Amino acid sequence: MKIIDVKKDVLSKNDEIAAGIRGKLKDKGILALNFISSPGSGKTTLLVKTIEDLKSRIPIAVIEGDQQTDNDAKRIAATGVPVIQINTQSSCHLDAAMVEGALEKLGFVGPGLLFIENVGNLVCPASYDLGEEMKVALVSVTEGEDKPVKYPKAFRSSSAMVITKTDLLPHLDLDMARLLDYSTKVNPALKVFHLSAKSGDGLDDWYGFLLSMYHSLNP
Amino acid sequence: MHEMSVAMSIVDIAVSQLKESDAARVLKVNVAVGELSGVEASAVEFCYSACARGTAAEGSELVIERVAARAVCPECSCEFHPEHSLAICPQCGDFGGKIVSGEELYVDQISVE
Repeated sequence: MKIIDVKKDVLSKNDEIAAGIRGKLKDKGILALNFISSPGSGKTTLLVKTIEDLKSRIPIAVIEGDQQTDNDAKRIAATGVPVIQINTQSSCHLDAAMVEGALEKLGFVGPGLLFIENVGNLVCPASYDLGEEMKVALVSVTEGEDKPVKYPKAFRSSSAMVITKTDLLPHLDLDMARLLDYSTKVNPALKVFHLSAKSGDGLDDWYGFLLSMYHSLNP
Repeated sequence: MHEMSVAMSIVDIAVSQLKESDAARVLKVNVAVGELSGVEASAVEFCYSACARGTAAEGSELVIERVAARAVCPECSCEFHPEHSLAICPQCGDFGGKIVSGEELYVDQISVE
């Protein structure tokens, strides 16, 4: 019997694939964002609204991740932009190999924006690099104040937090100051947006953020 | 299920390391799993033998070395055991505890023959 010293990270293969994706996207001028949240936080609604408002200015493509159904992909497809649905079946997250395969099918040449909508789950998607420029965590105002402290890895691995469905605030007892305090404590560098895809409030800031990142990638 | 893909990655790493050696099969795989890695060690153990079936690691033993979580508070320098990956200092209440161990998830060594 022989013992071999390995010392290899279990997710190293995923990270290698993700690094390859990141390099290819950068070469093509594609800005990729990986959206993570609980189920029902409004990821698809925000993406549909964002696509409708920005598609005439920047080419956009979408990769949709769900355990089952292509319901979300159908909503995105109705906007006219290219979309690929990944059904992860029993898996609770997208991984880099799934995204690599989806990118081949998508044939998005860039430059442009690539939105990756992860499986609705604040746990596992935080651990998987998909080759994105940044993760964006969504939290809707109906979810309470403590999502950042309950799922710190999701908010620590994200660069931006989008607080969605703000049109519902008058009907809720949400303590916004506490939510912001928690998110700052978990990740002081988190860029925060407040918006409602339904009323349109706050969308200009969000679009400004996307456009400035896109233009710094494609000067 | 997260642990199933973790177990599959462990088998892949063990088998690819085996191929680089002159041995024929994997007998044992030692994996370090940190308390804060987000991976439930017992669920990985449960999935492992099924993932190894049909590979050169079939029938091998999975040994999980659990790594305890430790954090250091940047404010008061106290070292403590964080309850979860949000390391709140038990002495001064600071949220910015730097995790120094417990996030490990790696294949440490394999035994082959």
